[in-house]
Amino acid sequence: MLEGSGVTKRFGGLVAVDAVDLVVHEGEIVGLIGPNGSGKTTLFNCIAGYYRPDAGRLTFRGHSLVGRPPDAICRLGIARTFQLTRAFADLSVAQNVAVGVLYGRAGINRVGPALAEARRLLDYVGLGAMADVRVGALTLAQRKRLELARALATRPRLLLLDESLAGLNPAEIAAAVELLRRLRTELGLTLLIVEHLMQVIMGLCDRVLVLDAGRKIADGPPEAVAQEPAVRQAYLGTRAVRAAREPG
Amino acid sequence: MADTPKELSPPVTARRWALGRPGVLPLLGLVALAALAVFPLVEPPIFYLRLLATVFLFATLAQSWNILGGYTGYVSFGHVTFFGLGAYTAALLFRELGWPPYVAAVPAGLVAGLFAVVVGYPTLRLRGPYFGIATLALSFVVQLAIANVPWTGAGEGIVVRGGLPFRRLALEQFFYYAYLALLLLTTLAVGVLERSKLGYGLQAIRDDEDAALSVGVPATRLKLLAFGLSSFFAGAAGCFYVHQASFASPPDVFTLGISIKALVYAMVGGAGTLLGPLVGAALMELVNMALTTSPLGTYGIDRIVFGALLIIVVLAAPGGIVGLARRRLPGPWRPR
Repeated sequence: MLEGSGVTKRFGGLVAVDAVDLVVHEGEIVGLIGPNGSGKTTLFNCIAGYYRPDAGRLTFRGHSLVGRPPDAICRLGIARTFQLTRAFADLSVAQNVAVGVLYGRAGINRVGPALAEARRLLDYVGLGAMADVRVGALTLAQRKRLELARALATRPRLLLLDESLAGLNPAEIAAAVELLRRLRTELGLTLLIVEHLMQVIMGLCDRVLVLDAGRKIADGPPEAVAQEPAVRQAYLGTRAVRAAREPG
Repeated sequence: MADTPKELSPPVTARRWALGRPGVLPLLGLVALAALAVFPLVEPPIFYLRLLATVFLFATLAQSWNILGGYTGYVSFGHVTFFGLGAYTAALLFRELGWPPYVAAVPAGLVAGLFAVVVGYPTLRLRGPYFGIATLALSFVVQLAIANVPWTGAGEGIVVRGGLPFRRLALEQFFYYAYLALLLLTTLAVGVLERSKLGYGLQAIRDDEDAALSVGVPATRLKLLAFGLSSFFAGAAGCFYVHQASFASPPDVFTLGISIKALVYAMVGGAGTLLGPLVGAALMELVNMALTTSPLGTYGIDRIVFGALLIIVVLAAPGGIVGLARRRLPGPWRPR
């Protein structure tokens, strides 16, 4: 569904994403992990059209994404959430989602029906009671759900979630993981998830890509990837890994 | 209220969700409108006719500025560019073809609107203060350009006299009604815009442009549309102005003061609200008149007071008077 080869993004002398190959198949839940600064969000921004890769190819269902603006990529069927939630602050919760309904998909061009659809989506993510509230009144967990509802409003096929569980408490995380599972089973969505919480990655993902310093260092089922020396080294440092291997 | 999803909520529903339908203000508005409509017929002193006509003119400019500055979040310091282009288009159409203002208003608006789309293409990529600076510079450049082209009368200007077959009182009445009609039209357009798909897109761009892109809002196209629409109404206003002043000259119709007034009136009244520019223009033009006709009034005092008021509003009441009223007034009196 999503294919990339040799994707590279430089900022001056820094190579933030370095010749990364990736494939995401339809219906998969793929985790994208790596230490801070390893290029996860930059790769997301390349896929979603916020950055233009300096080299490499990126295609989604046969359409090249390189050079396509973010709004056009959204209409191709890729929706994203932001690491730090970015709601439309002067609009109500329902109006936030209605923007996605009006612009992200074809078919609904009038505000009234768009708001009705927005309420339906808010019910789906468990935010129905807050539809008429201003965004500022939401908790962090609710804002993350709002971002999800707004992304869903565009009827995506592939959803890019950038740390959409960070900062939530354990109960909220459990509820959110459940919701993400339902996105696949009920809506048939494919998910690409950046996440730091290992229990989420392990419990939710079919496959994990690991980035370190912009390079892909591992790609496979979560249990297998967690055993790979390169991954342990990236997360724990060389000495800690050597020490663990040779006790005493 | 949550169980009436069919209701066409304006984008500010969130601020009035707790108090139900507003009742008093629309009624009050209709009464005021009726009073304004019959006012010229009682043949009042021309001073008052002119004063109100000026209020309507600047309310129109503030309201049209509001489309881009208030709803889309792109604060222009060069709104006068489009007012002036409309004025010159009307002046030229009169000189060459003898067109009266009510015929020239549409082409004048179109010239201003199309020019906005052309210059918007590069400048609307600039965000924040950079866009403001670009629009400011543009207004100077256009003024200089027109002042140096012989065909536009260069520094001499163009005389626009005799476009209307009216005597003194009737002429004043004509401009009064023309400005009032233009203000109503502009406000109606903004009212429709606010609750439309386009209005939702613009407000999303204002609140967070990257997030708007992420849900498919074609920001570039919508911003150009907003800039064009905003400038169209400014250009039409310029058309009537130039016939009222019977003269078009670069320092007159491209003066920075008009850009400042459009911006300050909209922000004092409440940028991004339907009523804000009207409230701001009415209040500030009265203040302006009081300042310039009182013994205290010296040259430039209006700018000092405007500057001070703008600072106070930005610091103490970012939503302007209408924003303040939304928070403080009891339900039925609360503006949308």
